[in-house]
Amino acid sequence: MDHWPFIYAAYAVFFILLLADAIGAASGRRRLLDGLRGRAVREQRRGGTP
Amino acid sequence: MRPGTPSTAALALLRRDLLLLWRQRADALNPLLFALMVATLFPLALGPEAGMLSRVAGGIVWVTVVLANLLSLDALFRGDAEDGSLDQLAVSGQPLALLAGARILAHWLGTGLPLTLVAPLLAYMLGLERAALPVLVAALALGTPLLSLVGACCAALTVAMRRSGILLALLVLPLTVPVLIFGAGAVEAAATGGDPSAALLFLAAGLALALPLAPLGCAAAIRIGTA
Amino acid sequence: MNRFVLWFHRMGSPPTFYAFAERWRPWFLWSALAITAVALYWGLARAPDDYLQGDSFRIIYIHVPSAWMGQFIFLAMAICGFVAIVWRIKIAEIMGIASAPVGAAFTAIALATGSLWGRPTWGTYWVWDARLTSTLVLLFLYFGVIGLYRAIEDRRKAARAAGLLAIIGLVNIPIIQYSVYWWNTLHQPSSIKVTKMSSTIDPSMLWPLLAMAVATKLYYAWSALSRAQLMVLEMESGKDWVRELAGLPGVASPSTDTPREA
Repeated sequence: MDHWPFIYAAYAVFFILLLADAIGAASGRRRLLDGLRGRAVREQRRGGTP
Repeated sequence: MRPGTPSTAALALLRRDLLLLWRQRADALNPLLFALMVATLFPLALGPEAGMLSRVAGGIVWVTVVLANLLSLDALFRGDAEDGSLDQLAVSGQPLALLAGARILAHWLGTGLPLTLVAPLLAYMLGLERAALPVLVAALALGTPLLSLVGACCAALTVAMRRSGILLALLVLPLTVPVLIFGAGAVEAAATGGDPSAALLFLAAGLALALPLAPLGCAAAIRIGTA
Repeated sequence: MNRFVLWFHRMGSPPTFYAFAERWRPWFLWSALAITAVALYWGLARAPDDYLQGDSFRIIYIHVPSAWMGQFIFLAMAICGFVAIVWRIKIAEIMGIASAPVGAAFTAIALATGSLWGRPTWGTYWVWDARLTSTLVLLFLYFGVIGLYRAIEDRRKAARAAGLLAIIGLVNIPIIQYSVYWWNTLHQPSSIKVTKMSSTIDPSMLWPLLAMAVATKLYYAWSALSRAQLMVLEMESGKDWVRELAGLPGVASPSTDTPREA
């Protein structure tokens, strides 16, 4: 039996799952910092200390 | 015995739990009914052929016991966590592990012991080899305390949330895999004419290990949840 | 106080930890990628065929390191949980729970690649082999830890509860694995040979395997530190150092400048 399709599939699983993990780990930083800035801007507009 | 010592506190808690159990004895029957119903489902799903049923009877009884035990776990600390008495126990100054041990003992007396006593009936209905019945009871007598001990740790971990739901099953079931394997293994060994003593000894060793450790884990979990 | 203990105490402070992670994260990721590229080139293109298994053994370069990482990360989670419960160090709580997703990913990879290895070798994707079964239980334990963390609202309580579950799971892992092996010998006809590689392994196969073991650990360091950074930012979002990081004036010293629009 030709083994290479299984080898390719295994390596695909490896890289796809780790890529998904990497995206999960790396995304959200910008969103979080933007959220912080937005909150600070709103606080400033209201004029009071937070 | 002087009041205020750890042993009196644990005994008082045990007496209170058993009294509650007795007052709500109809509820205490629920795990038994559940086990009976699940055991009925298996012949309906697998077919009534006696030979096949008797081959899997030991496994079916063990699975029903594990599931019935799981269902009873959510209530173990839930009520006390909601009305605040769990916080009181945590700050009472008594060793919390001992109190947790008393609670686990009460849980076993209310769930594990009746299940152990009713299991031969289920096994007989499913046609388990007559010779394996004493081994089944012995394995359950060693295994159900283990289920209560391990399950109590997981139940204590979920006190900080409003409802544990399916999560409790996700926490408890992987940890009860060894109990299921050795318990069902002992029954199968006895039913097929082998020697069940190895599996029973493994269960006993597990119980000896969990008996001191699980109440400590349980107490740590309660402290995390109530802090 | 010796230097290591001092470093350990400093790491307990969120801004120091954040800066440390920011400094080292790229190194971990790029070295992991570089080592992976070299090791897989050697393992896939240069190493000779195994005379028994043909080419299918080439899966072990990802399968075995992933399986190792599945167990290694659970151990790391339990150690973090222990530190978090005993000394109540916030960073230990965060590192423990930040390890869980990557650990679950590696365990899932070990399962999937194991079954893909099994199809050409055993003729089926799934057998109740002792290793596959105990790895499946390990994956359930990871799901339990993640599920418990998600279900509790108070973040710090959730992290400590998940850490305690990791400790309980760690005590159970050897028992589970032993029981599964015992169960397997009870049921499995011994005709199915489940050993994945012979004990003598050719050096040309061994070193890419070891290199991959190093690369996966470096990747784990990157992934856990990245998630931990995010969690630190979330937990400390009201603090001055986070506001400064976001390019905002601190609360303690409000400046008269108009804030920069995000």
